[in-house]
Amino acid sequence: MAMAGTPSAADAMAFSVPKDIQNHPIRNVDRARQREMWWSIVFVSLLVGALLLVAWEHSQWTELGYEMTRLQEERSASEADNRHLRLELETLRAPQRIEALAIRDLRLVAPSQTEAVVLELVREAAKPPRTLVARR
Amino acid sequence: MNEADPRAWQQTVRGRVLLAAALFAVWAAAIETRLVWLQVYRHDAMLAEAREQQERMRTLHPRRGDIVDRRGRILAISVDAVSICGMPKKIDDPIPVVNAVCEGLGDCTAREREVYTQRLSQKNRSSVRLRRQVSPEESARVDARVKALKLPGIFMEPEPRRYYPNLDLAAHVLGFVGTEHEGLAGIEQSYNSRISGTPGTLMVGVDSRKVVFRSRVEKAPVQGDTLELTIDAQLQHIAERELERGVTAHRADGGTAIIMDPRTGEILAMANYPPVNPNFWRDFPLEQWMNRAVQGIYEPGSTFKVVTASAAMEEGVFSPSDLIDASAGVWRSGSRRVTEAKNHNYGVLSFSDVIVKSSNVGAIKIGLGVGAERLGRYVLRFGFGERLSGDLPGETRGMLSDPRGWSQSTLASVSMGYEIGVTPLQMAAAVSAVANGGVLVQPRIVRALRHGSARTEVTPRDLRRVISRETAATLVTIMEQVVEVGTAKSAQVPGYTVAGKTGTASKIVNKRYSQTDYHASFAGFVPSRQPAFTILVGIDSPHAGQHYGGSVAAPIFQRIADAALRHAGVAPTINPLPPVLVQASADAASSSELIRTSAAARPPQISFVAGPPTVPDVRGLGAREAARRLARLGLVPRLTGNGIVIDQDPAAGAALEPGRPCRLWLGRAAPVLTPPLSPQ
Repeated sequence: MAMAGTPSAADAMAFSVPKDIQNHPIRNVDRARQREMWWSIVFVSLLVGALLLVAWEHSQWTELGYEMTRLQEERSASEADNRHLRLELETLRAPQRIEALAIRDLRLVAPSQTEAVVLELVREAAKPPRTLVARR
Repeated sequence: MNEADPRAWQQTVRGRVLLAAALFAVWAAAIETRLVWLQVYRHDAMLAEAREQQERMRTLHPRRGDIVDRRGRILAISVDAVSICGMPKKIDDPIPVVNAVCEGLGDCTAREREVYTQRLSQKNRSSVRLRRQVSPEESARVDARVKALKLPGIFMEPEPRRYYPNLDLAAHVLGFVGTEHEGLAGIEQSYNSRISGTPGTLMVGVDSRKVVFRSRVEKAPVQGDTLELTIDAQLQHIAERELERGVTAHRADGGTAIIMDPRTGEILAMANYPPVNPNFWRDFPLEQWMNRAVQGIYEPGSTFKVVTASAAMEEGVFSPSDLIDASAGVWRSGSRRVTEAKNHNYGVLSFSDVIVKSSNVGAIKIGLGVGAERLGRYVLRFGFGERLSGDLPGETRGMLSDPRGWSQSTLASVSMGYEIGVTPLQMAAAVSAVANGGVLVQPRIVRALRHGSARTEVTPRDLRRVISRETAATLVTIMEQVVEVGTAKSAQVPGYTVAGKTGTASKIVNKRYSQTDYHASFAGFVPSRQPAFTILVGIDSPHAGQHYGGSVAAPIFQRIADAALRHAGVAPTINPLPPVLVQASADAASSSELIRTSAAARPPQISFVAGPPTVPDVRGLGAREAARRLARLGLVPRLTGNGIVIDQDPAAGAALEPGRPCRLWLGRAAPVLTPPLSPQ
């Protein structure tokens, strides 16, 4: 128990700390430094933005390269398919095949001279002008 | 008591931070130095190394051009195929791999299995080809089989393959290509440089997975030209079908048939027998690939009398009515004795009848009258002894000795078509010259070359005038007689006038004229006065009893001509049916000539002779009368207003469409009458 009139250690500690500390320093805004800071931020942002743009562009370029290669392969495959289909079509249209199917499966025969007649077609002539055939 | 300095830790931290910063600075400096070293000092070397790793140069193979007929039907086409390859270094045991491949292919022989196993055992080779140019379906089956069994070392390599979708159709004309895609025969060979194109190069960038992420064409490939032939696939089929039928019926060794347009020289069909299939060209012996039409030399026999007669008439030595003594039916010169066919004795014949009855003795006397020098000149003029076309490889000049050295015996032989070797194409061209009025036209088989959208047409080329129009016309008359009353009655085509000449020549076997082997031929054109086709049929060694051109080749000519005329829509020339009047089409409007139908043409639109029905002019009529007239024509009148008709829609003269409404505006005022529309 602390005796009266004798200051304790705690009290000594309390007295050692100033009672009133002015902990509110006055901040003077340095406009020039602030401006520099903002310029730095803008500069760095632009730099980072440009770097990101370049990286994005490179990435897109590579991606488009892959896409273009894929599309070219697709086109080549489509062209190859087209040629295969043309080949198949021509094989199916072969005159000897058609004739064989007609004769063997459909029991068709070539038309005789009287059954098939070649007709000569002529264009319609322009109408003649009105003419006087006879007059009494 | 010695108390520790409470701020000592700050010194320690500061020291360590400085050390770390120094180390970081050293590390950064080292990195930067390395980067500068690599990117500045070794820039070029590193760039080259990167390119070497990332970039690959690939050859861009041009596509071999298609071959199409005159109607655009594909006769030869290149499509993507696949070669099945193996990497021996990655295959420890080739037998299960070969089994898997053969299971996928489905048609491996024991010999092929053996070869594949042997190839996959060659460890010193990085890759080997097992089977080339398989179809995508076959390669997919092999791929699936190999992947299912997880077998290593098999990969597929793309490779083009030539296909001929019509199989043996025009095979001798088309030829074939080898495994390296180079033309080895036919048109494929003679136009190889135009069809094959020029390869290009492509730079590709690949990533670490070998996936292409960029590409750049360093040198663009030049695609091969598409070749448009004068051949008509349907006519070619007709010629081949009838030739096969004739050769089989007469048990001949082979034959050839040519269909040619005598005015332009376009070869519409060139058939050969026995047939070959260019898709499997290795399966046929090389001699079977001979195109008899341009490579087969034969003695023409009596068909050559056309040339002899031409020379005689053109030089004024004989006229058609001159009489020639062919009595006794034999001509002697020293020990040589020439008789008529079937030992006929024609007695005295007119010049025309010498050709019509195909008298050997008469032809010899005509030839002797003309003389070696003049006859030789006409032989050369008609194109014998020269390559006429040049479109097809291996075309021969034939065999012709110098006329200045002809003895009387040789002159006699040449006069009746012996001691001279000609090709069927030369003979067809000579007959075409007679057919078109006396001009020798260059026979050709290539109609146009297409490169992209550009089409370069090969224009017809007249080589020279051989005989006058008058001589040609007289010869046509004589050749018509050959078909009507002479040796080629079986060449008659009902409804059409036909001109032609038969030929039968003994073949030389063991340096002697054979008594059993003959070459039977017929060369003619139809319709004779306005020829659409020159057709030559040559049959080699018929052995079924008959061997004369009139009985062997002429019927084949007849069947080909009949089908060809129908296909081309050539109207009959004997008692033709009255022509059908058709509505003028846009195409026909530019032509003042008669329109011919054809199998390929659009169906004709037959309309009324008096013109198409049109909407009448009902203006000025009462409503009831106008409605009645319109209703009678099938129109639906719709009236607006009162009074008489003052206007109408459709207007008078417009094409009448039954069921269509016709609006009539009625009024009290008289209509302003305007002339009706003229018919469309």
